[in-house]
Formats: sequence, C-alpha cells, structure tokens
Amino acid sequence: MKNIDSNGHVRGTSVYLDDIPVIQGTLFGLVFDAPMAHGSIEAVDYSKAEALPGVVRIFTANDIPGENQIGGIVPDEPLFAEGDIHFQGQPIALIVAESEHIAAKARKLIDIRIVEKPVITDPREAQAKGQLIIPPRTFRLGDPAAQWAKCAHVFEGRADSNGQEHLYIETQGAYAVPMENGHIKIHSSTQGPTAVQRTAARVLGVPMHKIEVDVTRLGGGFGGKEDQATPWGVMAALAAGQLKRPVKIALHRLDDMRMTGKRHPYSSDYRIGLSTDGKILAYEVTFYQNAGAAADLSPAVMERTLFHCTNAYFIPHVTATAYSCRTNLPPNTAFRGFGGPQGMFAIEAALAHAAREMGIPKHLLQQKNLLTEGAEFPYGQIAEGVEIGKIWQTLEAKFSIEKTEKAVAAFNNANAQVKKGLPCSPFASAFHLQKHL
Amino acid sequence: MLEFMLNDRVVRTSKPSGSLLLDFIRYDQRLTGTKIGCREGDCGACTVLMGSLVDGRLQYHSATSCLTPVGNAAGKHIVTVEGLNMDQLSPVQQAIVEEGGTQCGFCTVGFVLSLTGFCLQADQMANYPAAIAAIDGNICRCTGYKSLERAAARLTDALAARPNGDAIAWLVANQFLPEYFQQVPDQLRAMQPAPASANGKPRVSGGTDLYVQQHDTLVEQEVTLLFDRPALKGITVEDGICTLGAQTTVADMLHSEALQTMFPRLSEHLKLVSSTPIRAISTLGGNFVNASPIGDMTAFFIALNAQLHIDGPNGARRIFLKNLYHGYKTLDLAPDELITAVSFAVPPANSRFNFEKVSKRTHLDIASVNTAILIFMDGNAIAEVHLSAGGIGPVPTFLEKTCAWLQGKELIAETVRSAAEILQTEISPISDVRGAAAYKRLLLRQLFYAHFITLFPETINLDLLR
Repeated sequence: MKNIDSNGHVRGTSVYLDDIPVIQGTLFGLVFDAPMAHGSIEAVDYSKAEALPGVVRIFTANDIPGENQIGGIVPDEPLFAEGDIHFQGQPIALIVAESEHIAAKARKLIDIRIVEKPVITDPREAQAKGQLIIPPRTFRLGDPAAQWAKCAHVFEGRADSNGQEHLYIETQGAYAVPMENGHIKIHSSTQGPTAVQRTAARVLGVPMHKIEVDVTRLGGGFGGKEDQATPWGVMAALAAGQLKRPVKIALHRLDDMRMTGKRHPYSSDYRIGLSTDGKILAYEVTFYQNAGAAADLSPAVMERTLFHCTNAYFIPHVTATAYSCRTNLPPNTAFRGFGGPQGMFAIEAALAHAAREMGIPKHLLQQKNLLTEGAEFPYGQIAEGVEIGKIWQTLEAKFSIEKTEKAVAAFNNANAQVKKGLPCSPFASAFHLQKHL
Repeated sequence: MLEFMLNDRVVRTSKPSGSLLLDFIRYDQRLTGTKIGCREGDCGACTVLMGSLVDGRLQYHSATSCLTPVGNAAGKHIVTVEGLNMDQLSPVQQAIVEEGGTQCGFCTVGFVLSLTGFCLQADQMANYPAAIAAIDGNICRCTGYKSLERAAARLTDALAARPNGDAIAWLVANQFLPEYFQQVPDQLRAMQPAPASANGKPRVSGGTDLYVQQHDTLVEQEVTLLFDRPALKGITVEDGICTLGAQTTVADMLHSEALQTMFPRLSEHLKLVSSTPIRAISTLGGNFVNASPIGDMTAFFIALNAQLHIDGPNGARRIFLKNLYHGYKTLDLAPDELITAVSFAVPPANSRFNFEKVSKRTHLDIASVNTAILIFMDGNAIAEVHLSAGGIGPVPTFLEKTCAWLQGKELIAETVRSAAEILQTEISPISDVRGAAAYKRLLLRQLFYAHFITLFPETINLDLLR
C-alpha cells in the first residue's frame, strides 16, 4: 500500500499550514500564557506591550463576542483564562502583531500579578479531595469479593504509567482569513475540523455556516491535534474577524510543549486472584486518571481504559473503577490508544507480579487465560470469532518464547553491564466492538 | 552584502548576518520544502546541505538551518530539496517512497537531505552503518524508522557501484543529483569573498547553542562571524603537541587521521556528542566559551590537560582550559579577547584515554553527567591522572583531589573504589530536569568505574568494584 502523497512529500512540495502562501496584510498571533500552575489573576498590564510598534492588538476574554468556552465534552475550559488560572501554559491573551518576532518581544513586556494557590499534580490527591472531571464509572462482571477466599493466590499492587509528549513534528497552528459577508475561513492543522468549526462559531457567536475549516494535511497528530488544535484555530478566527485581516498562529515548539496536554498518566491499584494452575479467577482494579485541568477528551479516554481493563484475557469476576482526576497540569488528551494502553498496562503488571511470585513464566499465565469463544467482557459483550488462541500458537511455533527466554537468560548471565529482556503481550482492540454498546 | 549559491543559482542578500538561514530559505526565497520543527537543532526537519571547496574539491555536510546564521552560508553552496528535485525522483527519494518511509511527510525532506549527504560522503564511508549515522539527527514520529532503515540499506546497495574518485560526476550520471552540481565548483570560485565582519558585534561560531539561548536578539543584527576564518581552522601535530584551531568542528575531529590514531575509540566517543548535522557546525571554541557545565568537548579537553591560546589587544597568552572557569558562565577571558586554538601533548604509549556520557536519550541529548579521563601508567602503578566531569557543579570540572590521590597508587579495584569516595567530596551536583543530585552522584561514580572497566578490562571489572 502506497501513501498517495509520497511523491510530494519526498520532493518537499506537499503544503502544510506554514507553507500556505501568505496573503498581503497577514498578521501574526502569539499566545500569552499563565506563568504558574494555579492562582488567581490580580492584574495584567498590557500597556507596554501594546505600545510596542508593530503590535496591532491584544485579545483577552473581554474581547469574546460569544461564549468564552472551548470544552467539547464538558464545558469547563475557557479559551482565555479569566479570574483563575489552572495550569502553567494556560492561554490568557493573544498578541497580534505585524510579525511573530514583534509579538515575541511584546510578550516579554506584559506584567502579570497572580496570587498563587495550592497545586495538585497527583491524581490520587485530586480524587481524595473530590476533584473529579466526571463521576467515577465502574464495570462489573460476576462478584470478585466472593472469590478471594477461593483463590490459591491473591496479589495486590500498584502500577503507574507516565505521560508522553506527542511531538508531532509540525507544531500546532492555524491561519484564519476573513471572507465575504462576515464568513471566516480557517486553515487548521487539526484532526477534528468539526470541533474547530463548532467551537469557533460558539466563541465568535455566529452560526456554524459562517465558519469554514480547511485541512489539507497534518505534519503529525497522534491524537494531539484531535481536540487541542481547536484553541489556535478559534483564536486566529476571533482576531481575523475583528481586525478584518488574515491572522496566522504557528506555535513555537516550546510554546506547544508547554501549553498542550499529553498522554494521560495513570496510577492504578490492582488485586488479582488465581487458581493453583494459574487461571485468573478474579480481578479488581482502580484507575486514577490524571486528566489535567480540564475535561478535554478525558471522559472518553477513561471509558476506553475500562474497555481494555482485561486486555485479551477472560476473567469471570471483575470490578474495574475509574476516576478522572482534575489536576493543575495542561489538559491531557487523545494519544494513540486513547486510554487503552493504560488499562492493559495494569492487568499486564498484575500478571507479571503473579508470575514472579508463583515462580512460573509470565507467558504461560498469559496463554492460559486468553479469551475463548463466547467469553464475556466486563461490559457485557460476548466475544465471537475469537482467534487469539490460534494467533498465540502460530507465534509460539514461529518464535518459541521459551527458547528466546533461555537465550536472554544466557546472555544476561554472560554480561554484567548490558542486559536484555523479552516483552510479550497480547492485545485486544475494543475499537471495533463499539456497535455492541 | 552576503553572496552564496542557493541550489542552482547565486543569491545575494542584505539581511543581517545574524539572521537565520532557515528563515531566509523559507520566507525570503519561499522554498518551503525545508520545514520548521523545533528551531533548536533537535528534530532535523530543517536539514540542508552546505558545500564548500576543500583543496579544490567540493565537499558537503548536512547542517540544521535553524541554528545557522545566514552569514555562515557566505561563499558556499546551500542545497535544499528544491535543489535536488529532477523530473524523476532521485534514488534517495525513490527508496523512501518504495519502502514506505514517508507518512505525514513533515520530517521527510530532512531525511532526503541527510541521506543525499550520505551519498556525497567520501568513498570509504558508503556502508550501512554510515547511512544510519547520517540520519542520526532526524526525528520521525510516524514510521518507527524501520522503513527508513530499509531505504538506507537500499541506498547503500546502490552506492556499491560508485567508483572511487569524483563522487559528484557519478552521482549526476546516476540521477542522484541534478546536472548543475558539476558547475558548482566554478561558480563558487567566481564568488566574492565573505565581507569582513564588523568588530564589537556579538561573535558567533557555529551558533548551535547560541541561537537556542539568544535567538530573539541575534537574528536582528550583524554579527562577527568566526566560523570560516582560516586562521582559526586546522589540526596540526608538531613536536608532540597537537594544536586545533578554535573553529575546528567536532566533525573535523572525527575526520582527522591524526586524532583517530591518538584516540582509537574517537568515533565511539564523538557519537555521543549531538548529531551529524550539529557536529558539522559546532566548534571547540564555541563549546569552551559557552561554558555549559555539561559541555561535552570541554570535559574531553580538560582531561587532556589542554591549553587555550588566547589573543587580545594586550597580546597573546595561554591558560589551561581547566582554569578558564571562575564560576557559572564566568570566564577568565576579557570581552575583547578571542580563543584562537587549543593544544595538548599527544598522549604517550603508556597512557589511556576514555570519555563517558549519560543523557536521557542515548543520542542527540544534553548530558546528565559526562566525564573524561587520561591516565598514565608506570607498570601496575598509576603515574598520573587527569579526570574531568560535567553536570556535577556550576562549571566543567577538573577533579583535582581525586587525581592527586590516585597518583602513585597500585591499579586494583580497591584503589578505584576508594577514589570514587574521594570523588564524591569534590562535586556539588544540583537537582534539575536532567536528574536529582543523588542520581548524578551515582551516575558519576558509575561512569568513573566505567573508565577503569573499559581501559583496564584485564584488571578491573564490575564484580570486583561491587
């Protein structure tokens, strides 16, 4: 299969946001953002920045004709902070100038006074203080509580997985051009053009048909431009609409990394019970999702974690609870796997724990508990057309996990400074299952 | 007025010499194939090739245009993807397309330039490891690199047919390069020499760290260009003393036969220092005066007990590199003085040298801790030691106490263990983004052990040091 854009890509002729020919009179936007993680804004003095030659205007929450709201699932995120700031890098204003260079100079001239408030970065602390994005959700199958006494082995532990920066090589950006009759065209590097259109209409206070969103291509997204490409498109449209001039925003890498959310860090508690022969009888897991300061896509990401909590295994008794916890970090967002990897990581950590304690190879525990035809997931779906057992056998015949593990052990015995390991994990995708829900 | 070749034509610009080549290419010339990914030399999306005549022969290296002042392009041939495009895809472009090496495409042009740079390298380097090394400064987030590795392997095979001698003629004949490359040497010879820079302006060497720190002010002004001054270039060995001009790049070191002979594992050491396009433009003098507490080449040369040659209005003087730093970014160097060269005594046969570095990423990253050692042996006794480390205090540090204590001791594990304890008394790491203070202390101990395990495998091993 060939990427139809390949020839343009290798010749450098494919057009990305910053390659769109610039229309005469175009202005450049740069975001002024919160310098600390939590606090209330006492005063902002833009006068020196506004006085800098080449600065055209600085937009704040006061300049929004419609709603100062960009939250897609939960309306809990302003375009520009008003009153309180909730994460370092939260947009407060948009500086619009004749060049990006002038805007960058102006940004250094803004004085802000903030009264600091306590900062929460740990999702468990947020949960304990009742800081939740949405109410918790629990998936149940059978009755784990009644099983523990019947289990030959019960292991408890904690699994933590950290965040991850998308690092799409093309940073976030948008280019808004005023059109006829008060319409605005937004060129956006977004995975979610409708989100940009809907949100721009809401913030500008105009019907959606007045906003056109054009996406030729993205220089990488990986989920990072699903919801979080929206603010820049909306800001550019806001400025373009009011100034009647095209406005371009192309984030500097450091601004992008500071202002945008990452993969959700999770902290999870598990309890797993097994029979003497290694069958998983019961599994309890609690996920503390670090959502950051606003909902963004966190509720949907949290659900996907629950869908994947038993990975590719059948477990007859399961309780899985997830908390989406509000912290003072940039709102975390979609990222390849969309919460699934975090759910799978906890059960894989629990199995690794059990294998270590029971003194048997993890891959045997994995194989013994693979999904079988007709097995039920903790959300009620019955598995049909299950191939994972066959897949595992095929791979085993081809690569022999046991032989490879022996080779790894031999290498590790012979080498003091360099060590090897063999990761091995099945993977069940819940993406194609949604029609059942 | 600056003059240089950009692809197939000569361009002139009156832009400030401190403005960036990347912005000139994209916004003044509207050659948008060259991309902006980070503006810090980390991602390689802005990679270009820079060609100049060396001993009458055209030589190219890759460079990150985001950190290159346009003044450093003067008199050279700058190649962007637009200067490589022909009617048909070149074998480099073809290999990437056919192996599925491009997805979103944003990093792709950088890979095309780096791999074309690989094709232009001296004959003996046209092997697969060299092809992979050529793309060590390019980040791709889509492919996972396997397809790009296959493309590199395919190119290596294609280059097997390349004869020794004039690479460019063969590359043109085989449609790797457009025909105009054959005329480039004559056009460069006809070019006006780069204008002498005004004194008193900020001085820029390769710019690799300066533009990360001072981008906003440097891009607006004329700067004093040092990079191409012939008097500051060159590696010589005379009467047992090796002298390197202050504008010697890390790549120049790598390509020096004299240095490769002195330090047989030089390639291994320097592979830990940034990436191919950065090594081609980062200079020793720049590294020293930048005074980063974790400057790799600073640690390297302190351990060689190197001397700096300094020129100023009051004449020339020499100081030991280890004495250059008085405190964090405070130097024994007046504003009107210039480091012209660095020299060291060629290590004798009874000496051994090693360099170690640990960073969050193995390659293309700033060190958490780095260290170098030069050790002279007298039988089984340590005659003399020069040990340096970075990341463990406000300046790159010569570890004086440890060196003094080791002198005259027998080389056994117990000696190394005891020295590692003394080492801990003369460092003061702080906790920062590159690691907690305790972690850096542990790192330096392990790297100190690694020096001895690497240099004396017959006597010292990890088990003995535990």
